[in-house]
Amino acid sequence: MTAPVMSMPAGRRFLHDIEAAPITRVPAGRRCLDGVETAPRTSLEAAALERLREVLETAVRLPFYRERLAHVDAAAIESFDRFAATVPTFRKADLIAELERSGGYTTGIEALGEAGAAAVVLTSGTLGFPTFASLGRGEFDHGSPREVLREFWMDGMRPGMRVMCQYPAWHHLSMLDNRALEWMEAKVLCPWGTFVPRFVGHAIELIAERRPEYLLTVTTMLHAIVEAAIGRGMDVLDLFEPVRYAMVVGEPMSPGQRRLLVDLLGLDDLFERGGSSDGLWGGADCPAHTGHHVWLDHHRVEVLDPDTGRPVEAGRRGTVVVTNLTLDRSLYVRFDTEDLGELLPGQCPCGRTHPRVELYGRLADCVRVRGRLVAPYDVRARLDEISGLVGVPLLIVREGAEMACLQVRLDGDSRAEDLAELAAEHLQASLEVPVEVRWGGRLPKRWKARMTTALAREPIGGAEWRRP
Amino acid sequence: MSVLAVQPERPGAGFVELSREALCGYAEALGRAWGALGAGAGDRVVIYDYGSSPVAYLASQAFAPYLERGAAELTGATALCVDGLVDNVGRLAHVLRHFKPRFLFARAELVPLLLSGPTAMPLQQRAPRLVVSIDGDTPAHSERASWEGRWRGGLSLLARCDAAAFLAAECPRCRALRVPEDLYETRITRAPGARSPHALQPGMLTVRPRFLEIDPITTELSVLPGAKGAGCSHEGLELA
Repeated sequence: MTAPVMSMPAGRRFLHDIEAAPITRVPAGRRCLDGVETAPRTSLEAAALERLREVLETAVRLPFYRERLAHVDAAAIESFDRFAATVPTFRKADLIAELERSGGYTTGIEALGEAGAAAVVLTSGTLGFPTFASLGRGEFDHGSPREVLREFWMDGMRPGMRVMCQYPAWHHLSMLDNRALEWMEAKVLCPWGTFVPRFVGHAIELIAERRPEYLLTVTTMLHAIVEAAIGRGMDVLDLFEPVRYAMVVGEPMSPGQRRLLVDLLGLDDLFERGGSSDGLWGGADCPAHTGHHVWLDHHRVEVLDPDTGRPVEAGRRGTVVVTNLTLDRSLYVRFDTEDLGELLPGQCPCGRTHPRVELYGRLADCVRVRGRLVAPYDVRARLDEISGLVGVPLLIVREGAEMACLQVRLDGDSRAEDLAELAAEHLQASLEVPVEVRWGGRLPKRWKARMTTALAREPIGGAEWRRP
Repeated sequence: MSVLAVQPERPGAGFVELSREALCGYAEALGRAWGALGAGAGDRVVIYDYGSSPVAYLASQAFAPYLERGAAELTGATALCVDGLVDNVGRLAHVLRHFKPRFLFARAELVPLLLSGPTAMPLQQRAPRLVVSIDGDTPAHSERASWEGRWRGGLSLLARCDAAAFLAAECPRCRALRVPEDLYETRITRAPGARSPHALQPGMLTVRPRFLEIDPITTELSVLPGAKGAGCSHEGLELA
C-alpha cells in the first residue's frame, strides 16, 4: 500500500510522524494500521485541538462563517469545552438558505486550496433538499480516505482481496472508498447498476462468478441480494462461501440482524458504517461492535441535548454535532447533523482510543412517547431479540408531537396474536412506555429501510407490500 | 494486471477487466470525447448515470479506484454525478439549477423524462448541451429531431460499447463519430450478402481497443462511413 506522504505545517508533529510514514511500512499481521489508532486520548485531544485552531483560523475567513465566528479568537480556544461554549452550531436549513440565496452550488463553507475543487458531490437530500460539497485534491490524498483505509484494515480487509464495491460515483463515501481501495491494492469488482433492489441480479451474478471476499454495499441491498437468492432457489451459504466480510451503510443495524445475516451467509463478520454526507463525516464499527469509531484526528463529534443545545455526557442520547479537523474540503464547524446518537463511555475493547458514537437514525424519524424519545432503531433492535420477529418489517404510527402510547404495526396478517402480545410486553419493559403492537397487513414497500423499519406519518392502511 | 473488473450493462457480456494502463486508455477515450464536444477548463459537467457506467466512473479520478486521471482532469472541467435512477430526476433538476453545468450526459432511456419532467423548467433559461449515451439503437432521425427541438442546449450522441471499452462522441458540428485512431481499431462489419463493403449502407461497428488485450468485438452500434461536414474536417463514421 502506498498513500501519498503528507506535508504538514508546524504544530502537528504528533500526527505528522504517523501520517507521513509510508503505509507500506505497516507489517503484515499488525492489528492497527497506524499508531494514531491506539495513541493515548490525551495526546490525541491535544493534537486535535491544534488542528481545530487551524480549522477555526481558516473558517473565519470563509463567507458562511465570517459573521458566525467573528467573535472567536482561535488561539484562545484552549479546550473543546471552550470551543463548544464559544462557537455556535448550525444546521442543514442554514446551508439551504445560503444555497437559495447564492443561486449557485457553493454555500461559503468551501475551504479549498488554490487548485479548487477536485470533485463536487451531492449530499443526501435530507429535508428534501440536497446541498453540495466540494473536495480538493488534498482531501483525497491526505484526508478522509485515510480514515476509510484504517476502517478497512480494522475490519479485516487486506491487500489483494477481491472486493465487491457497489460504488455510485455520486456519493462522497464512495469516493473515499475508491482511494482507500487503491491504497489497499484490492482487486475491485463492480456490478452493473446501482444499489436498489432491481439490480440484485447483477450483484448475485458477480458474487457467483467473481467470488469476492469482501462486500461493500448498503444494508437494504444486502437484504435484497439474500432475498433474491433465496427466491431463486439458490443455496445462500454456497453463494456467499467466498465472502468473508461485508461492510454495510445506510441505516443502523441491530445486533439481532447482524447475527442473523452472519449466520445465514456464513460470514466471518459484518460491519456497519455510519455518518452523514451532510457534514462529510463517518465511521465504522470494529470487530467488537461497540459503536462507530470516530477518528479524532479527522473529526470532532459532540452530542447535544436537542432541546437545550447543551452537551450531554457520554451514554446519553442527543443530536450529533460534527466538526471537521482537516482542510481542502467543504468545512463543517459545529454542524448539527440532526441525527440521534450518543457518545459511548469508556474505551473500546479493541484497544483503539478514539471516541465511539452509536447512531440511531434521524431525529425527525423519532417519536416522543410520554416524554421519552423513541427511535425506530429502538423498536427494531428490541423486536430483533424475539425469535420470529427478526427483520420483520414494521411501522411506527405517528400521531402528533407527543403520544401517550407507542403504536407499532408489524408486516403480515394476524398470524400470531400471542407474538404481537409478546412484542408489546418486551417493548414496554425495555422502553418503559405504553406500547400497542398489531399485525398491520401489508406494509408499504420502501426503498430505504424496507427490511428494518419504516415510519408512518399517519395510521397505515391498504398499502402495497410484497413479502420476501 | 487487472485491478478493476466492471460488469457491462448488457447481460452475458462477462466483465471488463481493466489494468491501471487500460483504465488510463479508457479514460483517455472519454476525455477525448469530452474534448470533441467542446468541454474544457472551467466547464462543469453533470453525469446522470449509474456509477458503474464508464460514462460516470471514467469522468473523474474521484469516481473510480486506480484511475490516475479521468475526463475531468484531462480537460480541466469539474464533474458531478447524479445516480441514474428515474426517481432522481428531481435531484437532477436541482443540480442543473444550482450547479449550472455546460454539459449534461444522460442515458438514452432518460431523455423523454428529461424533456418532460422537472428538468424541463430550469432548462428554459439555461440549458446545457445534452449528450446522450447509446450502446445500440441509435435514435431515428425523427426522434432525434424531436429531442433537439425540445432541448434548447443542443444535443449530441456518445457511442459506447462497454464490453469493447469503447467510447466516442459525435462532432457537434458535422456529427461524424470522432473515434481516436490511436486508441481504437475499427471496421464496419456488414451482414453476409451485403452488396459491397464500400457502399453507403450501414453496418455494425467492430472495435478493438489498443489499450486492452481483447479480441475485436462487434458492437450493437450501427454506423455508416461518414461524409465530411460543412466546415469540418472530420471523416470517419456516422451513427445510423
